[in-house]
Amino acid sequence: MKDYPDFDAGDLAQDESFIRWVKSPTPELESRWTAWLEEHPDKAEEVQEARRMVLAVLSEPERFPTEYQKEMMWNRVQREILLEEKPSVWQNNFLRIAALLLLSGGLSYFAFLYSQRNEAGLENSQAKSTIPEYSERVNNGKYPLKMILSDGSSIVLQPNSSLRYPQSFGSDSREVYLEGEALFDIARDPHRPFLVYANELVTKVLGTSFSIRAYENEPNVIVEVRSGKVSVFAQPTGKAVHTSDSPRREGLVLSPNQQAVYSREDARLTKSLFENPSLLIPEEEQRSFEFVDAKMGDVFAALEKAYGVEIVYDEEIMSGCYLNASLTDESLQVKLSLICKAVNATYEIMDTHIIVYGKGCTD
Amino acid sequence: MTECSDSVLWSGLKRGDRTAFSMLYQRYVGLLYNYASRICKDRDRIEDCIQDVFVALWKYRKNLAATTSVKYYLYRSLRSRIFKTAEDHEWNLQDGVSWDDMENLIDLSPEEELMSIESGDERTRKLKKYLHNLSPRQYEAIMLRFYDEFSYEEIGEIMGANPQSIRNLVARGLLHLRQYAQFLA
Repeated sequence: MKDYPDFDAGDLAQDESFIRWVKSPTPELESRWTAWLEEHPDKAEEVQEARRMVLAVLSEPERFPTEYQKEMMWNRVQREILLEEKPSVWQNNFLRIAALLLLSGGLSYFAFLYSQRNEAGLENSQAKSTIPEYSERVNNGKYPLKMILSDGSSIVLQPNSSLRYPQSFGSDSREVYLEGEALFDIARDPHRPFLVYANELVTKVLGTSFSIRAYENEPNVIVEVRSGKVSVFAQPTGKAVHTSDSPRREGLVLSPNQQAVYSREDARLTKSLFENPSLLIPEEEQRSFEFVDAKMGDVFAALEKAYGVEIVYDEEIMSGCYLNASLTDESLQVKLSLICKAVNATYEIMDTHIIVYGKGCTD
Repeated sequence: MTECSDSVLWSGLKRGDRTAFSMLYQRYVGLLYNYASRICKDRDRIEDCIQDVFVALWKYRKNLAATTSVKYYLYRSLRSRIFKTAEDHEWNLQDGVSWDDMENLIDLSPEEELMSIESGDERTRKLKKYLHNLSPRQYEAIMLRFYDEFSYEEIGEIMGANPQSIRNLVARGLLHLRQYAQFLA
């Protein structure tokens, strides 16, 4: 364009070349706009403001459909097209057989043939490789149901729960949809994060073991981590996050023995410890709970390691305290109570931290 | 995998090539959904309209013009469907409060933090906040211009107005934005 003589920020922000420059500067654009700025030094503030306007607009959240939504829409498009093209389809032998079976009640067989045909119609198409076919497993029984997915991940589906999953996963992510409760043991695959959509919560992992409780009629969604690291983020109902831009929306990172609770009513996500944290170290290492004249720093460090918790205390006050104790399979809370009693302290659990209030020890 | 240009896919579609059709779907379904969710809050309606657009695209493929910009064509069809099906079109971007609140709660990564400092942090945030106080048409025109980089002529066609009034719409929108951010902050 021309010289932009009386341009203010609003005019600049509307200029195509200016927008490009802010979005993805090429050397060409860079030199062009630097030159312009040198010629018009009085416009520096206007340029800044225009930049901010463009950036503000570009930072509007994006809402992309999930793989599942894409697939559902595509299937419906296919179905409508098939119906439109009835006359030619009718000559197809497959469908003629299918129609007969339909009359004799073979509904599911029809669905099978129908999907065969659908695939035949899409031979060589991208859609086949990029849109996975989703299956649904529903546990209406009384007992937990174990299932293995195509990537080797194993899932224990609790009663009254269901899981939607693709028969084979795509190349950049593994996405499943949970209603109800399930325990996940995810096969490690750093190139394809595993995402679980459950009510308003998205849980993302690379490979680990965790459980999710997300019943439609319950006020909270709870994610508990047994091993590995898991990130959890919230999203409003149904608005799935596009996987490629998900890092922006990461909410909480959970370590073992930590849980995330999402309150659906006030859309709040909080992190806390399990009610009863379990030991994370193998049994042979548990003898380290034998303490003989142990410094409190060592005691707390041993507990931190064993339970994956963080213990906060005043080193100076506790420096005069030593512990003689033999602790084994008590719960973390009992261990803490015993220790605190021995050294004249109290403790409190706050989110994922344990805070020890000591008065010091005098001998 | 070879990258086919829009025009190659478009002419493939006109010939009745299903592969070209499904590639067009793959290429545009995300963008269309994203655009639709900025002008309509009803997810089911968005899905229905996107389906209808593609069904019609296939059905009337023989009558399609040869030289159309594909993206623009799809946006225009989608928009007219959304507004046709909406007797009671309500302007509402947020489903309640949760999305934006969540966005604000979440920590920025170090790189993003750096970016926002570079771009005048506070001020950008204010501008962003008042974006939602613009009129629906101002907001839509600005998004089509900045985010999708359509020309004023194309935006005019999409939104059913002449290019000059779209220019005015965008200009006024930006002016309001500046004023809001200046005086209401």
